[in-house]
Amino acid sequence: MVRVEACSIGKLYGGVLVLDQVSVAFQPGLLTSLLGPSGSGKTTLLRVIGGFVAPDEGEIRFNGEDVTSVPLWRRNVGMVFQSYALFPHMTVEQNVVFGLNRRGVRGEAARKETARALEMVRLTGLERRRPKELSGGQQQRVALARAIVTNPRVLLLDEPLSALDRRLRQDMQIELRRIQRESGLTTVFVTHDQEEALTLSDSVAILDRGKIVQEGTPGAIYERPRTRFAASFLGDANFFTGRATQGGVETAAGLILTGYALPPIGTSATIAVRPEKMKIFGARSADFETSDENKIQAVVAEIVYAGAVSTILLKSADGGQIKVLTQNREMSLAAPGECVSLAWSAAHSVVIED
Amino acid sequence: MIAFGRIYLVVIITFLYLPIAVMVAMAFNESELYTLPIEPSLRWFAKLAANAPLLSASRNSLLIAFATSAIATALGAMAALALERRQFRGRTLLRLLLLPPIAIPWLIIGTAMLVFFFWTGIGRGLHALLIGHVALAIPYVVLIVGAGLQTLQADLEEAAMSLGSTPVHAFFMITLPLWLPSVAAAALFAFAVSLDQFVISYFLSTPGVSTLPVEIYSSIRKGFTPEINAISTIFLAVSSALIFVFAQLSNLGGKRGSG
Repeated sequence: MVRVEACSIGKLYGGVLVLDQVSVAFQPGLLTSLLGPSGSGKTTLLRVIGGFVAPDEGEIRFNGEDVTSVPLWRRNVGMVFQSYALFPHMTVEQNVVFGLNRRGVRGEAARKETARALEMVRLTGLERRRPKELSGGQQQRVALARAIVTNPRVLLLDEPLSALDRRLRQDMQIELRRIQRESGLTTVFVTHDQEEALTLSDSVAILDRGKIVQEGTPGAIYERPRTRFAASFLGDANFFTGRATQGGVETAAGLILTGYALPPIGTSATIAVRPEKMKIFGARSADFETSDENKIQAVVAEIVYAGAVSTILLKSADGGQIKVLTQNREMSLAAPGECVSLAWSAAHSVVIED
Repeated sequence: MIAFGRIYLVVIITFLYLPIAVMVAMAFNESELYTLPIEPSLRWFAKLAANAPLLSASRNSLLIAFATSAIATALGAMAALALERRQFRGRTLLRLLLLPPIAIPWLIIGTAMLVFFFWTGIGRGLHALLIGHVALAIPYVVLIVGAGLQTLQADLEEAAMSLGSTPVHAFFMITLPLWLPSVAAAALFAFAVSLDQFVISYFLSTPGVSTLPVEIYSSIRKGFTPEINAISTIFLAVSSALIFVFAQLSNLGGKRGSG
């Protein structure tokens, strides 16, 4: 298994800094997502790692070895393109065996490896088909088999699921995870879909305007986002900005207590609270007793019902919008126009950089 | 509506093919004066065999058409590759400059070529005809093969390279096979452009060296003979055969793609 590192990668495209001193390590055998909006540089970083484009500065290392100047065709990477890029004039089998032949594996050995890869992606029996005769999901599997059959040093996935419809995408996420675990390949996965990044990744690196904003496990980033961008790009968040005091932030909505380290007293500070961390207590609610440190008043503006859960939009005393996610375990506690109390623990008031 | 469509189609086909059918029929007719009924005869083909200027012009026409097709396709394909796949200064301008020659009347291009060829010392003759036809055919070739290249995803070559192909290997294994139908279409088009060409050929040929259309034109001015029907019939057969071969080829390409 290969540890892949990008060290202070810089890349300019037509005078625009697409990657700005990006350093990130991809752990052996794990799946790391590069998550960011379009234009954040995530695909460029993937292409630099693969050798599809040369960086203007910095190094790419595979197990400590500098491969920056190794050309694409000798770098031994497996790439799944957003468009799949299957060779239309070749059968499924010919597509998959192509890379093996290029690396000197021929005959019976190549046939066996191809069969094994096709079995892994569950396409056995479709060897003689042409890409055009396959469904989108099947094409995707061929692309994956073709990329992993050569046992590449790193598997690169460029938004491979974005062309599939929602249902198929969810199935393929699970499949992709299984195949990645079975193959044990160090994997870099580019996506702009936060849900995909959360479900698939061992680790996530969030990119914004050519810089890594935060990296860590999905759980760590979700629970402890460092910036407003990270908090809002991975998941949803309510933000409260005000002046730092002892153990809390004095905001227009009231004093909000936090368990996290604050900037110097008197300076500006922002707190992020995930929508599902907040509890709603209606005026008629019996169990208003709570151990939560934070309690604020708000008026229910709208309730968006989504089956298992509801998103409740509220207006705080200062007019700011607050979003709360509740499980629909019982009949709704609140109705639009009703004044309610919101409560949450100081441990869920995450201090972030604005 | 369907009946109307059928009539429309029949009218079009009639106007397209009836004159040609008459010409072919008369090539095999004994009479010189288009008299009916047709008396089958190969007389005009025999006479044609003795008509040295017409035969020599036919030879020139075919020679130039084949050479034009080969040279214009090779140059045009390379130009299209550069225009579609490379980033360089003046690319957009170059692409725009390809279009006007298609729209400029041949009479004007022919005059300009004649003046230019005299000025540079290239003069007239077979070589001048070839240069002129190649220059004329290249924009068509670039347009056709360029369109073919656009339908090919650029990431196919990247995929091949990530699997261990060098850029050259990737081009020959992936791009070229997929590109071949449009290259063949362009070659055929260049051949047709050259074989069809009259105005420019008229300017660039010398009294001794001309092409078939030019020679037919001068013969008609002297007085029409059914030998022209005969040679036209032969050319018709050759070009029909070429079109047929091409249709087979591109059909194969289609089958390769879909099944």
